[in-house]
Amino acid sequence: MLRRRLLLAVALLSAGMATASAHPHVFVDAREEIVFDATGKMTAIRHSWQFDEAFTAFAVQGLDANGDGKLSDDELQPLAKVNVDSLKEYRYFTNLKVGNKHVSVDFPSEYWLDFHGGRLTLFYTLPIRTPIAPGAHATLEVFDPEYFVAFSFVKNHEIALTGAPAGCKASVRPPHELDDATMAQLAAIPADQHDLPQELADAASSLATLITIGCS
Amino acid sequence: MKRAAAFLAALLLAPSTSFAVSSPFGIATPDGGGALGWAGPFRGFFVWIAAEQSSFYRSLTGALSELSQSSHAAWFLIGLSFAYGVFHAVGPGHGKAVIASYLLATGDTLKRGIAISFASGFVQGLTAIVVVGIGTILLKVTAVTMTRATDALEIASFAMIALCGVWLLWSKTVGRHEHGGGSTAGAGTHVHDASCAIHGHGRLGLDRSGIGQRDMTAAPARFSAATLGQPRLAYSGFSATSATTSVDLSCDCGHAHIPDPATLTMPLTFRSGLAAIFAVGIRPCSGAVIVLVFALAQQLWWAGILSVLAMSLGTGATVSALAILAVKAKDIAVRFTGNGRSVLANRVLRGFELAAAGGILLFGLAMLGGALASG
Repeated sequence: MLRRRLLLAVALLSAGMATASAHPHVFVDAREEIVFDATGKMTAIRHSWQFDEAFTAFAVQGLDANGDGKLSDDELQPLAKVNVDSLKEYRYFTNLKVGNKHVSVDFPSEYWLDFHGGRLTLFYTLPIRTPIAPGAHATLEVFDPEYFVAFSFVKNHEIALTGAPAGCKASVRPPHELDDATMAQLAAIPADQHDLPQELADAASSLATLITIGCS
Repeated sequence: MKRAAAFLAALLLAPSTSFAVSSPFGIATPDGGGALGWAGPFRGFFVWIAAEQSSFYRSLTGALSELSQSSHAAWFLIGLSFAYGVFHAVGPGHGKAVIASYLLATGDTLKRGIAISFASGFVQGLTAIVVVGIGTILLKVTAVTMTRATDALEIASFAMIALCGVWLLWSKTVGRHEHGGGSTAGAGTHVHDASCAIHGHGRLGLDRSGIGQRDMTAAPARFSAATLGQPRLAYSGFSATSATTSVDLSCDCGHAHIPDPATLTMPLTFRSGLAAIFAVGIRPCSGAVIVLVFALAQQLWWAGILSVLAMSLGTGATVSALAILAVKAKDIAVRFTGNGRSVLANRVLRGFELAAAGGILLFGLAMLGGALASG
């Protein structure tokens, strides 16, 4: 009896102590592009991520060094460098798979920021370490399982296949409705863990927008 | 009992397993903290919370954008900010765990607990305003510099939290024994309470900021009222017999008395209360900082400040609710184990206090270690 009462008290306490995972502070409207070589292999992923107005305001503060009211490429480039350097630890929120195998990417070969209409857009290219043909079933996800960044995709411009052989097609599957159990399981991942184990990354896929690429 | 204590300790330590995180874009650090809630029985609740705060945040920044066109939008903005604060504070950071553990450790009153909760929320809002005020308006720093500044404040906050833990642990163990008072004074449990007042010793000591307690240490086994010196004047209400009768420490009132924490810990509480408020509050939350900078970018600094203050109020409300829950949970545990009338109840109380103080220390150290490692 005593123990049961104690457990009740502890349960109450745990409710008080429990903390939830992060929620988005950065909202991104993304466009993706996959670049193919002449032999039909994927060689790079190009990201175009447009940030929301509030995060943009935060990001561009103090960058107008010459005070001309405009943000030049020179003024923006150091921030672009900080962005891609920091994204590395998060694996660029990018998960490209051929069949069920994860495809490795290298540090961005090019990156820059563009400021237009009060919103900042980060453009960068991730070279695929070993170019590979997508085959019948390749998938691309751009997703932050920790929800600090909320990715959504620009309607009808989610994915472009550049230089892809005829017969290659991409399709987009919107995220599943948030299923409590799955999401809870996923979000139990500690906040400091950025490189998710593959099975967890797989589990995350139902919550991400899934881009499927297939060549016949 | 031991198992329950171990379980409790594990519970309090759980948040320390996750560390501060770096920002994916190198600017604006995510609010650190555990993902404990997700795994627990309340996950449905937290899923809902995450969805709510996300939508409030979007509405909030949207309302800020439209503010220049409509005056009604200001009230809307303030309401949204408050709601965002309420929901956001359920997320990581904001010192809920620290404040709640602090209240458990000190046995602070509910009223003071609520005051401390709101104060910590307010200081947090104020920090965001000061950081953005100095950084953006005066120094015109970049987001990278601003993030470094908030990260430094975060490290200071974690260090202060760890120090708070050390201080609480010290005052609950070594410090308490030095004073010879408290709920457990060694083998000869110190027994007294209202019905015990006829013996005339300790209750007085407790009520008069511990003067009596120190004197008791001087006479460990038996002591007469005469050795109490100063307090004698205050004995006037008692009969001459009881005041002059020597008092046995193993007084047979039949129960150990848990000292009224409000009187026992007053000097400790005041100082460490402020320390706890600042330890938690000097770490601005990313949401508030981003909203402020966004407001400033549109020359709407007043709206930004109002929004952040409303957010602080909302944060304070949530932290208060959790603080109340923690204090009530402790009360229930103590009551169910004998309502302050048993050695067990005493141990439960002490267990809560020590686990909470230890939890604060480890939480601070773990977060500090994580922040330094990732920085």
